[in-house]
Amino acid sequence: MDCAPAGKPLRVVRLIEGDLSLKLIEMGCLPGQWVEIVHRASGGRALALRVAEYVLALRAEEAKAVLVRWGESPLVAKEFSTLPLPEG
Amino acid sequence: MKRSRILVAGNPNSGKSTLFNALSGLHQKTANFPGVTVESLQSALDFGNGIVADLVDLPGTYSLYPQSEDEKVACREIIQASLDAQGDTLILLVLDASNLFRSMLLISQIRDLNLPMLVVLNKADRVNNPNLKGVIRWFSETIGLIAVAADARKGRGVKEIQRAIRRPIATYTPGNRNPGAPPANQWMQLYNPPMGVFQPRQEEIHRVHSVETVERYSRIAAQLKSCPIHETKAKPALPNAIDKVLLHPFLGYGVFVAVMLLMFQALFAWASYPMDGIESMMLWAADFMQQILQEHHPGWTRFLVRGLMPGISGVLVFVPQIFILFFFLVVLEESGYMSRVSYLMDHGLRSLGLNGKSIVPMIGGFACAVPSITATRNIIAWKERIATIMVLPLMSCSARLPVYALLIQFAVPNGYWLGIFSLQGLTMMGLYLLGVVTAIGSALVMKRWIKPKGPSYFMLEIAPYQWPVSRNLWQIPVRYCVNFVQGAGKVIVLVSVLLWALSSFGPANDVMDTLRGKQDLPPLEQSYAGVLGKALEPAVEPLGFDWKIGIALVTSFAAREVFVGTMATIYGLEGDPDNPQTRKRLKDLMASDYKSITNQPMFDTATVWSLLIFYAFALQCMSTIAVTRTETKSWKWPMIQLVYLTFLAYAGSFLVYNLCLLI
Repeated sequence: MDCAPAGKPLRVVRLIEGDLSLKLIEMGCLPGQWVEIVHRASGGRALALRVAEYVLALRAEEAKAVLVRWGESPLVAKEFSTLPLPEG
Repeated sequence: MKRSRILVAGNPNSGKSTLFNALSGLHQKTANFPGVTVESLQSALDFGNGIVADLVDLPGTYSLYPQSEDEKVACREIIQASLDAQGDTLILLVLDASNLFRSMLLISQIRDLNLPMLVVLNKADRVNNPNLKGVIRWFSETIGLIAVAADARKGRGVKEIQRAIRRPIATYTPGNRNPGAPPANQWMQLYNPPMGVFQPRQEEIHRVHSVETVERYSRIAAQLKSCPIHETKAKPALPNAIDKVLLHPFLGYGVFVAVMLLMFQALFAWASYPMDGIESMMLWAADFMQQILQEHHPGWTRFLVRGLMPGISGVLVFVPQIFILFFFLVVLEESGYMSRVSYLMDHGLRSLGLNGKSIVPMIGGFACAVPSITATRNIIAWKERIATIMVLPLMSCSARLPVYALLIQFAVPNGYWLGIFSLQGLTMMGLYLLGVVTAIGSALVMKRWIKPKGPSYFMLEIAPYQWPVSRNLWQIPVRYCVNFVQGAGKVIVLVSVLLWALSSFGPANDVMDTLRGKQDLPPLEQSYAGVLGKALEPAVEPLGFDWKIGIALVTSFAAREVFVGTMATIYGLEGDPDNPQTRKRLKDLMASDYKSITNQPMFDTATVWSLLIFYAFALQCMSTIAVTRTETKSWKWPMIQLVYLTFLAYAGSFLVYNLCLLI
């Protein structure tokens, strides 16, 4: 996610196993969820991510654990079926 | 008498503490910053009819699977309540109505523990009213829980909650309307009930846990299909126009420096008016007392006017500054600005081995290191948390304020720079900056040898901007002022009375005769305090201090601000005690003291700067040592802290004193 564009809807594809991913999953940032990078700070080393109705500050380096796709990217996760989530 | 417990639980920043305050009337500090409650706070609620309940405000958590220290506190309480299973614990689950989806995970986990639970849909103003009624119905029909709507900030719905928690707890046992068996609570394997601790997590549990969470969420998503909450009035915190400036790569830091500058200007320039007022009033009171008592009880008058009164005055005079400091902290935290600063500064702080979340305890350190060290619990990375604790005492706390305020008058003339900024105010800011710079340097050194342990990442919720609740703006500072007067005040008054006794009586004096006024006071040098100070003099002489300052250094180990009271008592004792002419302000008394050998003013530039540097660095605070011990669970860290800060203080003072002498 560290190199995803800001201000565009992003779809979470999968989260690489780790402490941060676990916390993000607990906060409802699940595979299939729509998210958006709303701000970048410190020369791109930190980012503000909108998930549903709330905004999270993350380190770009650590946000690499979140794989997202955007636009017409053909990348689709096989191991996680998309969850039926409310529109956020 | 049956005593039940009501645990206020929920996600961080969902308004638990605001609701807790509204219910308890006790105004515990809350803020628009996730993680302000790091310890559970308790307040007794009297329902009448001999029924008393303990209302407990838990730190926020997203699940019952804790990673940080503050989450562990919350999870331990909840899990323990389910294990005790006496049916006398009610979970008051507070959720942000505009973030229902996220709150449902914690609700589903607690629900599976079969604990009685009342759901509070807080921040109800962010959701359309008809939707809200639908959500309440949805909770009872689909989830099997009773829910009420509230807006704790405005006090709406608080009466309903008060009524609801008076009902028998069994009312809130979850109805069994949840189809299918619940997923296993994997995190329960980690909890060790007899010890009350969480075992370190293992890789396989990690995986199982994430599968469980995804499973829970897919059930929640299915359940939410029938819930009418899709539209909320709330806008996400970002992006917005204000943050274009406040989070700007350059302007953002500029605004932060400006805010800090304003705070210090207020602390020094604005606070001086009420401070002068308090000081004059205390002088007047002392005069008045002397006039009416002098004739009949000369000995006791001396005790009151010279011993006790200066001590009390030394405490009261700093109330305005403490008020202003906490006022600023409340505004910064409640408005949501602090979380932006954390986000903005994380990268910079991380390169120092600290964490974006360190900024809150560190700014809080300007008030007091003790609660700030506790507030580091929400920093998940152990290494960054320890580094923060270790450098925190270098942030100049409010106890140093009195010392700086007194001493700066000797070091810097009372002028203005550019006609606006008080020179003394700028010096004060300089001392604070010195503390910050030294903290940065120390952090860089520690980064090299503290070993990492456990999870390490940075994650923080940025809340939307909001106006601080107006009652918090004065109630929280007032509470801290009262705390200061009662807590530090007791110590200061006690120490000044003790000091008065030590300095009024000497080996060659009879105590009772002196008190009855039959015998004159011994010269300070021949009193017990004088003897003690003289013994200390060789140790502090290289720093430019004399035996009087030596006494003050010893007494202020209990708490830094005791320095001023000590000075007031020592200097209040000198001169002719019965001549009102000699009873001046402490500042004037100190200015009229001279070094015995060179006959230069005692408080010349070199000595004063040396003393200022000493106070900027030294760990003269027993409470800090105690809280570091509690938070790190070992004596190793407080001892390292004490040794390195004492070394810094002594070396720094020595250097500055000798540099000043050269110039």
